[in-house]
Amino acid sequence: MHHFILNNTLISTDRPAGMAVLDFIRTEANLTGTKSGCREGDCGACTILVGRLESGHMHYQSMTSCLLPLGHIQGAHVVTIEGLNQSDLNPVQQQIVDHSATQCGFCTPGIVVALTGFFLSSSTLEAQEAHRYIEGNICRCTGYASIRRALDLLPEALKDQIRPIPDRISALIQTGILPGYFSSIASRIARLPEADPVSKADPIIVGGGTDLMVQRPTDLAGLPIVIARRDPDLNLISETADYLEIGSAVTIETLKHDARVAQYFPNISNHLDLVSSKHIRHMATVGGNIVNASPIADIVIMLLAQNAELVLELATAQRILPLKNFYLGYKKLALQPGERVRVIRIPRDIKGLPFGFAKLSKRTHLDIASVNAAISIQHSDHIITSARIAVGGVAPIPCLLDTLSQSLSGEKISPETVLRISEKALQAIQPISDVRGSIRYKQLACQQLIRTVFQKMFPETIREEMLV
Amino acid sequence: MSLIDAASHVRGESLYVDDIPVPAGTLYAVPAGSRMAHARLTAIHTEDARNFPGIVCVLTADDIPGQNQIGTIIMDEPLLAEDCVHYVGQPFAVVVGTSRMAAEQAAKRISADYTPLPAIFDAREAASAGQFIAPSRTFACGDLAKAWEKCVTILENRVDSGSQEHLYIETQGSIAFPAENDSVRLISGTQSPTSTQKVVARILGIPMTKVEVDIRRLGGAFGGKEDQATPWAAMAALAARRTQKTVKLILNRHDDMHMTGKRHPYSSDYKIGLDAEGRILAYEVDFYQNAGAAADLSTSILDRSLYHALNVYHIPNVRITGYSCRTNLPPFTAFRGFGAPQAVFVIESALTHAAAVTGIDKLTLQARNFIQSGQTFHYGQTLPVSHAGRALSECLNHYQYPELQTRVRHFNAQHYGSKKGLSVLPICFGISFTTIFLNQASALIHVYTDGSVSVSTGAVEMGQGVYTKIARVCARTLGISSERITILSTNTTRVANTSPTAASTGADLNGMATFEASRLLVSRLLDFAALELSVPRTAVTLQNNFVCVSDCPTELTWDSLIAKAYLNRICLTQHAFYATPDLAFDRTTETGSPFAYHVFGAAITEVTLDTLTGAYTIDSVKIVHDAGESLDRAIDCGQIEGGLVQGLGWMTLEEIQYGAEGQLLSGSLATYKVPDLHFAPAIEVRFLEQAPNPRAVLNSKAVGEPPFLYGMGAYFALLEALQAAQPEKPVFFTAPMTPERTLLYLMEPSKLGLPNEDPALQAMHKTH
Repeated sequence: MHHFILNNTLISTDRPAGMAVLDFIRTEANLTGTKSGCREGDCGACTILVGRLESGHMHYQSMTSCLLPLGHIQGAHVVTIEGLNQSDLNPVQQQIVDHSATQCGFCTPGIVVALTGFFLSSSTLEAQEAHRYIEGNICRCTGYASIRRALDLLPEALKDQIRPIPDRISALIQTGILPGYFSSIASRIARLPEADPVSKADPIIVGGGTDLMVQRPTDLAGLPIVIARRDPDLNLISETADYLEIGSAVTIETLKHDARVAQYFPNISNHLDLVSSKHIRHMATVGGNIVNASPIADIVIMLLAQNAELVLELATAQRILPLKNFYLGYKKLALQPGERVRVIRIPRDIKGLPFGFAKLSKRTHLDIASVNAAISIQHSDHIITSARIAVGGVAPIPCLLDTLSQSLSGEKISPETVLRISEKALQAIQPISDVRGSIRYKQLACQQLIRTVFQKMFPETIREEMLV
Repeated sequence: MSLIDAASHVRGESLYVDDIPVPAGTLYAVPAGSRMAHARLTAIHTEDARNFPGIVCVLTADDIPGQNQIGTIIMDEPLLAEDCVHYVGQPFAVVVGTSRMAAEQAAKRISADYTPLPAIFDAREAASAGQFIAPSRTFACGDLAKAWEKCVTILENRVDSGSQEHLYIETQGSIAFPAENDSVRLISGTQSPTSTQKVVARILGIPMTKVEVDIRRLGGAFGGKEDQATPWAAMAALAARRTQKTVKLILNRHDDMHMTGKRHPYSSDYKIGLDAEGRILAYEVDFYQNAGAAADLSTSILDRSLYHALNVYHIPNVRITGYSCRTNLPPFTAFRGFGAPQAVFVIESALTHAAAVTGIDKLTLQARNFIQSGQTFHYGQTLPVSHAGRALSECLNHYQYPELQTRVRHFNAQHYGSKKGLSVLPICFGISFTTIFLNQASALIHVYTDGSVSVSTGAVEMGQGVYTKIARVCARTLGISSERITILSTNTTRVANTSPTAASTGADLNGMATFEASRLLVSRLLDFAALELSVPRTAVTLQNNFVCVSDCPTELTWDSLIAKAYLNRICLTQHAFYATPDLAFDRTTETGSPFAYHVFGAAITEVTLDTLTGAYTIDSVKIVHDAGESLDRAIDCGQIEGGLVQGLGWMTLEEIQYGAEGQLLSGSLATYKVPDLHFAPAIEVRFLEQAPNPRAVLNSKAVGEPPFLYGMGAYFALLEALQAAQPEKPVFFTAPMTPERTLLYLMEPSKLGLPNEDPALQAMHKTH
């Protein structure tokens, strides 16, 4: 049994843990305001809010319910558009109506829900930030102009009435953005019973589910699964004497905002803006990105450049494996049966080193890379002492260009070095032509990404005009 | 005024097909389709699917009681393939089960025995092989041979534009409710309820009177639910007939993308000739339209390409030929613009080419060749008033184009890693169905005894605001407030023989019919009011819910007038019919007046290109658009902005890719990218003022399709940015201008020009 609160109603259900929350909402709860658009997290029509009780307060995050396994919402408050409706339109709804920011209306409930997420969790309440909260919502009708007009005025108008996060919910109830019942949710969540433990052997381990729910939806709905996110130990980020340790179930959005992580991955928050959408980043996990083994996994490419190691766990036994040795071939992992990724760790000597990342995709946001690259450089007075160049989308696995990287030791950081090394990189890669680009494009993209990452890491030494 | 649906949209209470409650015991249907692009079907194996838990039946062509035919213009397409399959995904079976998931899983267990036949995917190859949907058509005027002799510059080139997925967020779907005496009631996500009704009747072998099609709204359509909505309704109806249960068929996104038609890819050859001053003297073009495996609406779409081949320019000597080529891809279909964008892209490419070669500024070339008031289009229609020049000059002046140009030049002089590009795109778009008989519409108004008013028309609401516009026309004409009016669902039993809501004409035709019905109704009511008030008929009007005498409100309100009229046995129902006047076209001479009027406008597009990586942003698009006297500026502005961004997508990100075996590679939202919030540029829209249009309802103009053309500006602005980085390289005209094409241009010019030049696409690896 799973127990959660759906809008204002306590739900206890024996539906399978791998059932998509979208299906539960639409077919079991008969709430049809949440729409099914693509079932792969790419359109946002099914956006809901998932609230959890943390240190006595409810914290809400937007998620695409098509990729969300039911097991994940155990003990949570799930909010659909129906749970936001009051007798009159709320200010978010009213603003969309006033600016004609809805046409066919199919994407609109998802947008209203996502914007409510903005009011619940934004610290700045700037209009520009509101855009980020709906970046995962595709609207095919409006061209987004009217939506922007609605967004640009709304936070400004309400800013003074909305208090900081801990008191946010009561303030949002007062402004009418939330219905009154939200005030009682925290205490009701605290009283929810635990879910039944998974008893059967060999369950499928699900991180965020954002890839598994696309690739194996029927399996997930039918087989026993374990939601890694529910294991608190896997959700920790900590710094030991030797390592930055990231639990495998840490979400990408958590990674994006963690101050310790930023010391190891300078500018990571901006880089992660290019990784899926906020809705997906709220679900997708670091461990999931690693075991999904996509040759163009953005997180893996970043981790490779920072010399990450995996702490693997089989029952009570643990072993350490450098991430670069984890991939044996296309989607083939150096994992034993039953073994799982527990922690990803980064050596402490990486901290503070210059690091850069870039990706090329057809659409800049919420798109899978054609090619991506991450570079880490250790240097002494612009003489490279150690370098790591990782590239994705150019081989069956995400690659650390080991030999090439090592050949950089002793080289001067200069346009000549960058031009030479980026050309040499082409000998180390074997891209294929596919829907994300031709071989020739991927070769050129790899070369140019290495150049552009270097240029952005050392803008004084390597000026644009020296690379063009 | 906002959309009448807006409040229920933001509350998630607007019902779409999949949201409508269905009775217990409803069954779910899922189509199964071909895995080969062209083959003889020697056997279909349905046993595994039939035996799958939860499956009620599997239907094939043998189960069709009527005619297995869904073609509308040309009867060349079966609902379920019988002996032969003509494209990957072509449906040949329908699985019906007690749950959607069971039916989907069972559908995967259907297989077939195929004997492969040679397949063609390219329009030019099809043309060489003589594979045409219909005979070619040529529009010609002037004396081309003589004209070439007078030209100082003559240029030829090839232009390619790609396909485009509609990506309405609501996928195709239908619910069929069986009813007594073999009849069936359908809720169908269709832009064309009558086509759906007609085909369902044909498939089931029953008269049209036994098929009711109802639709309240679509979650986006853009042309993709015109003819393409019908098969899913027909399959649901077939299954409902067989099982005598309610059957729901909602395509999942994968099936929708793989099985339904998209925008036609075009490959074209142009030859353009200019004099020394840049006047275009001669233009010759061949359009090779990739029609896919069946006619669908391809011939009508090609018509519009022929009409719009010159965009907004007047060229005295032309020959325009269109070939509709049969290939083994899913039948391509209507998509906003309907063949016009593909044709306009060619003439704008030709002008860009001419500017590059002659050194005459492209804007000068464009303006010098504008069609003027009183001039005649190449198809013989005279343009009474041209707003081309006015729209362009207002656009350039208001948005300070010269300053923009200076700013861009400065930027480019100072930046190496990025370059900006600018383009100006004037447009001209003819309004009316080019199939003349479709330019008709009906409206049915009932006034109920409490004074509330219902209006039914053939218009389908899909977010374009046609219901809101119709309510406004009715309210204005009756002299009552819009709140008293309910626009009822579009239903073939209330309004029969509806033309599709398409060709931007929804508000024009149905608005005019509504206007006429409202006018007749109010006239009858005022006759009665004059008698009641004992005043001359000419003094009585209805204004703001009151009967007025000499413009002064009386005590007689609309509600009391209606109550009294009912008691006095005055008819409170009015039907009216409208047919656009003065439309004519002679197919033997290919001349006539096919359009009620034309829409004009102009857009300035600014882009920034990263010359290291080929990545780019579309910074802004600034538009002056001619909407006549807009019926609703907020709605029209939304159509302009939305149409523009779809056009931008078509020209940049949106790339439909097929593998060597004709299988769709970009068949999911992970592989087919449409504009998102971050991609969409800053958009400014101004309406062309003082441009009333006497040829449409309340002096308005249709607005749905023309703004799509503005998106083309992005291609030419990007080309300008590319040339700022690589001034020595030649121009090329292969859309979409993906980040791959830009990088290849920047790094490797020789490879450019031909679409799909890379044969290695077949080596697909999963990279997700």
